[in-house]
Amino acid sequence: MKRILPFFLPVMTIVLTSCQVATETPKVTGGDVRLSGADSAAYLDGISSNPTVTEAEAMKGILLVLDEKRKMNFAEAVAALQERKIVASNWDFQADKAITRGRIAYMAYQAFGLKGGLTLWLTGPSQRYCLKELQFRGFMGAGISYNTITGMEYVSILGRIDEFRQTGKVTGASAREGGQE
Amino acid sequence: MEKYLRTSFCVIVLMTLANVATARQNKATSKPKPISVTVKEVSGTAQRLLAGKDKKWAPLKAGEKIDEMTVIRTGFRTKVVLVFADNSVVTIQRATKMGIGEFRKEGKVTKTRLGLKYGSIRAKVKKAGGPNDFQISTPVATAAARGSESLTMFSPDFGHEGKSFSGKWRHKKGFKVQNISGTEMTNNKLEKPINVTKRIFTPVVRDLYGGLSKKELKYSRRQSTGRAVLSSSPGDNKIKRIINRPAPWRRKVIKSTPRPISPIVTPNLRVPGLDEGN
Repeated sequence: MKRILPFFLPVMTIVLTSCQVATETPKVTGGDVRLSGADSAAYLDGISSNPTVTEAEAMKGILLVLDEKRKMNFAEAVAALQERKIVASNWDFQADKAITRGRIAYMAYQAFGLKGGLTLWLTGPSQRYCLKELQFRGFMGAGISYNTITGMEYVSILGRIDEFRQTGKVTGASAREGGQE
Repeated sequence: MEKYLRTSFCVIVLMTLANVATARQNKATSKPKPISVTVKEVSGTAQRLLAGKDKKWAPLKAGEKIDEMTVIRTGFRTKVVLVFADNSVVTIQRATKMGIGEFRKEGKVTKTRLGLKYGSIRAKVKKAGGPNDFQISTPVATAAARGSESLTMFSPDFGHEGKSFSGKWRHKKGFKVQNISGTEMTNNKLEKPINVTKRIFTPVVRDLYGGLSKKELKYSRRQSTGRAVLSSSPGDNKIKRIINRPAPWRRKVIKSTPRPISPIVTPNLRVPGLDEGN
């Protein structure tokens, strides 16, 4: 045991330090794009017919759920969400790029204020495991983290976040595929 | 005799004519009449589409009366309660877009047709005021009430979902019909309520992408305690199968090789002569 320890400890410290999330400043493309000033009903109706959701639109949705009423541009929205730890600090942002299911899951997981399983507890939130957690709870449908999401799906996810934040539960989630409320 | 027959014939003809006339009158009176709906309660952001050339959305207010062909949309933290003339109550939940397709009286029957684009509606249908034909249509299915309370939801990821709180509800999707009653629930596949309930109590097998084999599914159902079975990455076993799949030019060879015949093991059978030596 005494022989192993001198090797084991440095290896473990290297492993643990490499696991830490890099705190780089995010690259924001299209930061001056103004987010729409629509109210939540108009926003949801407008987005529901879109085949994909852009990052700017997604940010606007999350801000509406969080009851953020300030009018802001994309860069300001990113900063506001980073402040609330809704988005990861090491992501790159592009206003007109279609957002992925993994990113939505990460943002939703943080907005839900959930406490996840063992992997999430050990490693912190990640797109992959946030998606798995939300699928497990019946809050999100099947799909993989690097795929895009339709506007209608995003509307229903935002609705669930809102319901969970208001009531602490999501109606019918327990009976869904993999649902465990 | 002839006179008697003539008079009786005339009486019959007159009676039939009178019958036809009254029937026509009844038909004219039973022409469907649209009835208005009252907005009882509004909290949060709710809007309705104004009819006219330039369609505009106007905020929905409590006490307002709305008619057929009205479209309502709600935002976050919103609840709208509509009271229909037959005392049926419809609660529109948050993040919902719905429309009143038809609400009219056809004779004694009150006909209600609601459309749900996304979100959820909770309907409490009352039969005390006469027979009711109440239907909620989602993009994929229809829920019809038979005097009861229910929640109908539609989301693109989980599809049509219905939960009954009291009375009977009939969910129809194509040719498939599922009746639910009491506090039962059905999902997009219109599964039997017992199967939907079972899912809540059985351990979850993480096979959202269909990558597990039958044996693995059976094992995880028996052994897992829910999240312990993490095998739902998009192509766990599919990838393995693809990697392990022999090259196309080798497949035939593998198929054509005869399987080795395994000896039948019969531990309890003792063969005289052979076993003696052991």
